[in-house]
Amino acid sequence: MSETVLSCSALGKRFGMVTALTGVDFELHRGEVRALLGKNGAGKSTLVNLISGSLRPDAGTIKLDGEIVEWSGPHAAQAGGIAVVHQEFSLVLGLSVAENITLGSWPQKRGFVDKGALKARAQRALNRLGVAIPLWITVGSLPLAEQQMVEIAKALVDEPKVLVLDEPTSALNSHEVDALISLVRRLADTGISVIYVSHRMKEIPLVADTLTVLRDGKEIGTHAVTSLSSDEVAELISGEVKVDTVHQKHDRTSAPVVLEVRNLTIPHRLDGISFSLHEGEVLGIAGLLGSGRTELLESIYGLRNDAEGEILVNGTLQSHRYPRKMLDLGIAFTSEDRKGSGIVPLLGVDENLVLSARGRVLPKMWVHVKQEARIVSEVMASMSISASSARQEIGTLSGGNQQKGVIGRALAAKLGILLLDEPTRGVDLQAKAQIYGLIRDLADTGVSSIFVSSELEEIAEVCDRVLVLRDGQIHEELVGSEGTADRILALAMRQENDS
Amino acid sequence: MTTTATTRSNFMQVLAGIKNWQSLGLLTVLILFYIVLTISSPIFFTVSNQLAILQSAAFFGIVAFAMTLVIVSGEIDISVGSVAALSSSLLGVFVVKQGLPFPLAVILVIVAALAIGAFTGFLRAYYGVPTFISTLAMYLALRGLAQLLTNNFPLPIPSSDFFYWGSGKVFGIIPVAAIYFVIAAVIIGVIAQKTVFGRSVYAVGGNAKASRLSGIPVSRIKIVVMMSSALSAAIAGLLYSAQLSSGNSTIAVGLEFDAIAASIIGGTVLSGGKGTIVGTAIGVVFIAALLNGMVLLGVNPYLQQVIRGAVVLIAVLVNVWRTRRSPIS
Repeated sequence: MSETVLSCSALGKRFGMVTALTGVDFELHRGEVRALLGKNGAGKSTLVNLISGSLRPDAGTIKLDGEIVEWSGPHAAQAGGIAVVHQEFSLVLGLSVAENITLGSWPQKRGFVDKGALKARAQRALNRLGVAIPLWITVGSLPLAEQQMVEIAKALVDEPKVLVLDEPTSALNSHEVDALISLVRRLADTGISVIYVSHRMKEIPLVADTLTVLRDGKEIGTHAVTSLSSDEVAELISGEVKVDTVHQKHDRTSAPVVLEVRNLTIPHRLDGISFSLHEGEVLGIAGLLGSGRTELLESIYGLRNDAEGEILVNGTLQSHRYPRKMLDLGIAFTSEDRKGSGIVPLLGVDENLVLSARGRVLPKMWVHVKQEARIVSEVMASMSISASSARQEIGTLSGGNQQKGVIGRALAAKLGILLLDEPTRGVDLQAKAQIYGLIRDLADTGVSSIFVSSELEEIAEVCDRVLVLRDGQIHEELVGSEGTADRILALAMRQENDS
Repeated sequence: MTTTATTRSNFMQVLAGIKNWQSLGLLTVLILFYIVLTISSPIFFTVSNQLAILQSAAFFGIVAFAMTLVIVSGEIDISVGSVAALSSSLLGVFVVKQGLPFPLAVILVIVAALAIGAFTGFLRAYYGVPTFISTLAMYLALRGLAQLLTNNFPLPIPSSDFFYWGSGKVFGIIPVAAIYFVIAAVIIGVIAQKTVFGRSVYAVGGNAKASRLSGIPVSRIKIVVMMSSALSAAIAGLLYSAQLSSGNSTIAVGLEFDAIAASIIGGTVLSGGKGTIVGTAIGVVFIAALLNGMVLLGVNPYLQQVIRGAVVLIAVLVNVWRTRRSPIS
């Protein structure tokens, strides 16, 4: 076994009454990729924050290269050799790639920025990463996957010994995930140790050597990745034997059509899309990032004025569309950008839930306290949203609970058609399963959904029918059991010349 | 039993609404401040002086309540002082120069103010012009317009009734203005907490995109909020006119400062989405008592301005410090 780089023993951390982490031992070797797994609230972020100096431990010690370290803050940890790439990017979109990579440590010469040194420094980091991105292009103009590369390059500037990647693939499509995985392996080969936090079980065996599972603030076990099956890992994470929930799929194509899209076209994005959504049907839209999935939902909901074509709701043509009108017609849209366009962070869970219900199933003028409280407790119960009280600010909840709140908003307003854009992005496994179950349950009561996702497994699991979107066109329609993840992936990625 | 339970839960909700330990903390500061002033000046805690504080609090208080809605919605209104001055001047012009009947003049003044608010709101909602810029422009332009209309001379409006509406006393002791203050607090407080419109203001200020997707008429709400602010400024302008018995273009200088400061001291978050009318009411009384106390203690008027500025800065720092309680920055 190669030498130990990072060694934590008996780490503990409390927040007030809550024990976030207790007695955790954690050892990382040179060039090792360690997956850190656990449900939301299991203590992953706390452990990462302790290691990277964002938090100070209440108990235990952290050793780096055999010496006890006590970071005064994240900057000290970074200078000491521990770099973190957070799930939320910390890039300045208006600045260039080179400026972003060296942000916070711009080389100076007599008070002016030393452009040459800056360029060299940034280029070294990119070389270490082994990717070619133009140095002087504005970061905001790069696709998401390349922005992520810049983010990682930024972490590599100080030549870290330990690199922490927090949910690095949550915004990437499967193509880009593959690229990221090989990149992480390459970094590990150069001797950097990596802590890899992820909810995506499928990529763990591909990227990691070993895995550590945390549950309720304790370390449950550290294993070689190859020694466990994915079901065994899932059991370790949840603490209970996984019951395979196979959702009952139905062929609803004979049910009445509630939403019809005819020849929808957005220049350079979508090209003559036509399909119908039936009552009680869960329709999956599969396609790679950039295939126009989001634009499709946005067009239906009236968020794009460059969309042409016809949208019929319950058989009636809706030519002038805008969100309030679509809601009145019974259609809800949940954005993939939960923080930016989903939750109202400073408001309580209760008020977040009733935003769309007010003026629809709730009175238009006055807030009806009792009626609202009833709807809120119903929705919170049926969606198992866990919060200390209904008044808790939704911004303080976990991603999964926030997402349930956003979907619950549509539920509270008793809407019949849900347009769900990446409803499980950045959500833990348990919450994912609950969201799938919820969508299926709603379908049984006659609610129709369009389910857009980059994770093909979940499309295969939840949807009655799957449309595969490629190059702005619908290329295939898979009904029921035809829609397996492998089949969908093959269709979504097929090049024009293959078909 | 159910009714007791509901009453109880309603009561708990009211408690939870007030609980806002920020309002409580603020109240404590206000009380401490009162104790200090009472000890320092024998006149401070007399009935007549307290009523005088209320009288002076009333005018900018009405504006501060509407300003709280503006800030909660994620906007700002710098133009309130100039809208008040223009309203006063317009009243003078309509009544004295044009000879219009008094009620008609008042209605026209209010319509003009609503149009100004609608204009800045419209620019914000449909053209994305930040209200900081549009109301900054109005701040200069409307004050200039008021001076242009009156030549910067007061236009006397001789009417004892009118004077009463600004400076009269009910039962010979309670200033009418204090009653306006309370009425405004209740009305705007109820709008903010109990109406769908009011709650939508918080949602829009907290996350405008999410609000739009949830079916809230974001543009309409921004426009109405800016109109309410201009309306409150016009009312303040009319009250100043009544107090001075004239249409006057020099009134309400610095009104925007006191109104914004009261909101901030009351815990309103400048980036929007958070703030209470109760907090602002405390902020208003605090500022009015501060001004009054400084005069009683004979503080140099220039130094008074320095202190007012410092108090606002401290209030913002306290706000920032308080919201930074989460363990991870």
